Amino acid sequence: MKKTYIRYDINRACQTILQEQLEELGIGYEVEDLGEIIIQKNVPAPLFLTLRNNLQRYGIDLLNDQKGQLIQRIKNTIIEMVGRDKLPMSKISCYLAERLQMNYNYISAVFSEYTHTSIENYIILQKIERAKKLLLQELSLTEISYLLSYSSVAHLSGQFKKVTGLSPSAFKKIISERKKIAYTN
Amino acid sequence: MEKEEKMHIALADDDLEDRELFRDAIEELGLDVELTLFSKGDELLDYLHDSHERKLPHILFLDLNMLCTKYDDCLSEIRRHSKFKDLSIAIYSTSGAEKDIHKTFVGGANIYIKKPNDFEVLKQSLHEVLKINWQFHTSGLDKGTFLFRI
Repeated sequence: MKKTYIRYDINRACQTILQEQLEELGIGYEVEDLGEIIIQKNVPAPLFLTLRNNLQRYGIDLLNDQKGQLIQRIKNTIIEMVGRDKLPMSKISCYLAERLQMNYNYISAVFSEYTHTSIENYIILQKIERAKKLLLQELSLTEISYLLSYSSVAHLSGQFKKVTGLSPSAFKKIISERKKIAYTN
Repeated sequence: MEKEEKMHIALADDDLEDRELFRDAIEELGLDVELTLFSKGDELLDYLHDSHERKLPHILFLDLNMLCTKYDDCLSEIRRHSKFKDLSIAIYSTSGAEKDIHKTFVGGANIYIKKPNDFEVLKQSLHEVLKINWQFHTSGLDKGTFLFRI
């Protein structure tokens, strides 16, 4: 056995799966960005159910209700924003309002009502999730704080500690020891 | 969508008083949750093994010293099975020793909570844990690197 590293583009993977599944079932569609998809009208209910079930195997859910869809669009926009190598220069509230073409106060209120968190905390959580991945790819804290637009390494470390209760180095040590155990077993 | 899905919590603790405190704290948080309590490690593991993957609790609070007679220890028994790879495990302990905490995380726990002496602090800690765990659940974040210490 040989260990091979993989790199993947999650958005592309999702789009490809969606397209393949829709084509297999012969449903007409158009894929938009940010997790939106336009499906032909009048898809028979059993066919729609098959599509939903097939997609669930890949962890893809078709959302029905409007608030749920809005929450997902907000989350997708945030994830896409945090996944870039430089965060937008404009204020995040302006950026989200512009991308979603909606008033920020409204977006923010709906988000808090439905998710047990706030947009601000969700962004922090997603940034720390990305920081974890970059840490495990052996990037330095200086590099990570630059990519995630933190003003300093101290700011990044402080936020990391706040979200996980652990320092970045303690986090890394735990994950690498887990991998060692998994490897020897 | 996310609001409609009910949060399911399980607790395994052999101390009756601790179980009651936990239940009271959860009740006082006023969240819409389903709580299942276990006093024996074996009962917990039988329950988990018998549950369908989609019906597993969203989070399991497990006393660090919970004994199992059938298995070596609960945490490593659960982590041996891929069926439970997305089950969040919060270890609930009186020990605040760094050595114990590190060992527990390496052993597969996602969350480490030092049992607080104060009821209000307990409520606050549980709320924090449930909130962050819910984000991991609803956003499909990587449970493999989900670590939280409080």
